[in-house]
Amino acid sequence: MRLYTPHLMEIFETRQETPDVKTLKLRFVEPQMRESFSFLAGQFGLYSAFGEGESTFCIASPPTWKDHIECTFRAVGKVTEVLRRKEAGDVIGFRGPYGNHFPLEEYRGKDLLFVVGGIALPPLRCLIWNVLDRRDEFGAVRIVYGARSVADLVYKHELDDWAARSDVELVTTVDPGGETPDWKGGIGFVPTALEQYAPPSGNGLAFVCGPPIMIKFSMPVLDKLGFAPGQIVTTLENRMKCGVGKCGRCNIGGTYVCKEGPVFTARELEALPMGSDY
Amino acid sequence: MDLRWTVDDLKTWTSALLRERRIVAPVVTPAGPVWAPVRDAGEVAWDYGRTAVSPREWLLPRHETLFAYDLAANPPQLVEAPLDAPPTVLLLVHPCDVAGVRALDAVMRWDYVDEPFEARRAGTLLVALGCATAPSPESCFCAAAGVDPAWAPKADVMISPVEGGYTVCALTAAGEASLEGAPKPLTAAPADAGRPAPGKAGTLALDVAAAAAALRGRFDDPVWESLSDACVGCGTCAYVCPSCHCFDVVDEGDWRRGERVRNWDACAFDHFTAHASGHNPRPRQSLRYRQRIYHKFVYYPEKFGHLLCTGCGRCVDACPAGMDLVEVLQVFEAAPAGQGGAR
Repeated sequence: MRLYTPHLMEIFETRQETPDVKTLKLRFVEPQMRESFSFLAGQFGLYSAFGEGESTFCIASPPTWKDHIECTFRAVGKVTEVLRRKEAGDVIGFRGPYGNHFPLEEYRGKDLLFVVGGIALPPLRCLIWNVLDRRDEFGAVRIVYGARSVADLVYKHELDDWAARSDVELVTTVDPGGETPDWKGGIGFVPTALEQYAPPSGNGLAFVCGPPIMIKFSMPVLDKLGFAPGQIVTTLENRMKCGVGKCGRCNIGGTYVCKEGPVFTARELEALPMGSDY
Repeated sequence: MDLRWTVDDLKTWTSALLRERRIVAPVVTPAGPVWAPVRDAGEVAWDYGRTAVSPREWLLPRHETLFAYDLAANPPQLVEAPLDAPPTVLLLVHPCDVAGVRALDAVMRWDYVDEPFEARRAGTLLVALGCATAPSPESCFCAAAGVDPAWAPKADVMISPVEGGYTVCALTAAGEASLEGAPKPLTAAPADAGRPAPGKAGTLALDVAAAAAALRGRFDDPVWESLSDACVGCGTCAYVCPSCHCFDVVDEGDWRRGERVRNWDACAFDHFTAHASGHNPRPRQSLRYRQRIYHKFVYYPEKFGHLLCTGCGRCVDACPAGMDLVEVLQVFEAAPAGQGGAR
């Protein structure tokens, strides 16, 4: 099978996370792929909606879940509009895994802080569950997750699971005006919630993923909390066509997000032209 | 016996090659010379100057099918397109365009091998033709870009124009095999004795390496706005270029049946990097033009050790808005002092 030929995957379950965010649970059609497929947390794939093309998403489930992978996306474009209409029994395409990954072995014994906004939880959920499935190997697991509104929080059932665990600290928040009468979490933006929560940095790592404005205002807070640029990790997504360093469009400066990313530390990003334009 | 080859000798050799391989060579059309398959050695334009479009489409076509899909079938089917790679001779490729092939090689073999490209590449014999004079003296700047107009080290066979004819030498085993039974003896090669003195064709008043070095630190320079003022984002520069390789992948068909195809793309296009969300990291033409220059002279060389520009000068001649890459590089060469910007 060639580089650009996707493997067929059957959707065996779907979950509507929010009005415009959906999760597809996928199994390879080829029995051999079910056996042999492996990946590392943080890697991405290109998902095919035949007739419209491919879109790039980080694999949203952890490699510790051996029997399937999950893809969570917001319907914003042509491919995702088609994927949104797919249901159990439908077949889509997948190729990957591509890109680098979170160096999990380097994180062993350390406290891990996740600072996440909106639809950015899926790429970090892979890592969160990977860590939780190997819970003894890591220090504290702290999650600050916010969205515009209660309706926009993804993986609500898992947020409840995480909140109930004694080995996870979870802070949830929604933007002012996005709360409901029975909302038990915080009200405010993620950087503010992070500042109030004020977790210690220690020797730990902070994983930050969300809209650019959230990242922009979270960075000074992390700095104040004592996280050095080498302790702050993010995962990027740019428009891609090949995923393997050839089509020429995902670069930021001389760095190809598909090959040298998508996982970067803030220290690595400091060397790149990371304004709004690059 | 005169060791120099004549055009008749080249034709005799070409006719022999044609028996076993497709030959793609410059042929004359009313619109100028273009790269096309020939049926007869007599169709080859032996002294063709320069084609408006580089020969790269014979390795990376403008359009190709990757696979066909049929989701209505039970079970659903994906059928990969046959690798259309008949044994081919690319005949009379100037050193700038051979350097373009080297640039494609580096990208298409970077970690992941691009099979359709590789199949064509492996089946292609590159026969180079040195330039005694610059085909387009106003725009050729290969020598300034580090390409020897008289020598193409990545070719299989090197044909060098000399006084009263040509010398021919084989640079690879495949090249040597293609010359078995050749009408004339070959120049000893690739030993230096057979190598012509570095050519002077394509020498403009420009040091591309110096300009490339001077680009560092100019990323955020306001000069990009004025340098790209004329750019209309048509992508012609990428279309004619021997080393541009960016491509788009799209589906043609519906949700049941169709094909996934690959087409040439260009960083000059406004939607090239546009995200589905509406965000575009390069929302202005000046940023897209800057990307083009940085890719060719900074980003690519950092990865692969040579420029992504071979000095062929086609983009200079082809730009409908009169943008001149040589003049742009001269701006940086003349004023290397940067004004901020990480890169």
